[in-house]
Amino acid sequence: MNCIDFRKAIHRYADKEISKEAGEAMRQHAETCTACNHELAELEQLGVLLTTSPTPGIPADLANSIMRRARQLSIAEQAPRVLYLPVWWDELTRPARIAAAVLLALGLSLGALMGWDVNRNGRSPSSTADRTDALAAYNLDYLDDAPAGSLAQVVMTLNK
Amino acid sequence: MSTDEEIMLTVAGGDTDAFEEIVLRHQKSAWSVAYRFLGEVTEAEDVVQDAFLKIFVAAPRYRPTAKFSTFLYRVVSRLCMDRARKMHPIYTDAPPDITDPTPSAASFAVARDRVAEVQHVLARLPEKQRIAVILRHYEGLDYRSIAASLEITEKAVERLLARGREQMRKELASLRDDVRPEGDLAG
Repeated sequence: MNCIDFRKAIHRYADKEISKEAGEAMRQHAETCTACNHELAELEQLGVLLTTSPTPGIPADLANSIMRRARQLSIAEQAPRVLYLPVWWDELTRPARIAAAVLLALGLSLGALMGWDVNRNGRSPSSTADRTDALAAYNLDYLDDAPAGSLAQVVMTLNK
Repeated sequence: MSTDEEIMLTVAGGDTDAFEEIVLRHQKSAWSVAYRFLGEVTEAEDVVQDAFLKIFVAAPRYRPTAKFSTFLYRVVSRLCMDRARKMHPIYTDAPPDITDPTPSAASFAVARDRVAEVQHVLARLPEKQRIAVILRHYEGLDYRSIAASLEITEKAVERLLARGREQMRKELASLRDDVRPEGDLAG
């Protein structure tokens, strides 16, 4: 084993995540190579420094706080739910639910199409005339004399 | 004594009180990871609470395909990383409470300095390297368990540990050089 191979596997070796044979080759190299041996020693020293660092104390009431919140969640979970869907919906199979959703979408689309058609017919010239007549019926014609850019002019423009 | 996985199945069946056993068994690990990662008591406490509550809520969907601890570390790690992205680093010189007995004032001071030093250097590591180092050194997890907890490959774990340790080694060395007395420099 050379130094390059040793450095490549040094972390696995230090963590004992290496096969017996490879580990033996690493050990032999470390015994003969001062630089690699020093590298390994530094790595192991860091490991010792980390593992001997004491564990910070757990907050006194941690488990109780968690259980208090868990019980609150549990109670909320058991509370009767607001039903948005009829009971029979739960009994439907997945394909039946998909079919129902497709039918609903088709129905809504058809409704929207019909509504659009009616609306388009509603914008006929006769309808505009009715609206102009309405201005006359309510004696709003005098607003024609309002200055340009005034609110009254805007109302008149929108109704023409 | 029931295993964690058996208890979780009981919790999934609606037994809330059984969850207390899970909390008591694992709160120390969860707390240790969260505190060492975030370096702040309040944030770490929030993360631990959120982690256990997420697990409690997900209990009905829990399937014992892996060790419970792996599942817990996964949840805690994710929450820690999410939290770290939202918070600003709040590292102070104040050391954490040390639970092991300290026989003398001198040894307490040495331990306190060392803890603060290590915590400071650890906090400067990128998130993934930091969590890998914590799981390996403080929780004693092998590469396989770390990989499962972080949902990465073992090779990636090795790389994270190598980079993290290298940076820690350099920073700890430079910290010691900074605080070394003048007499030492002459020698």
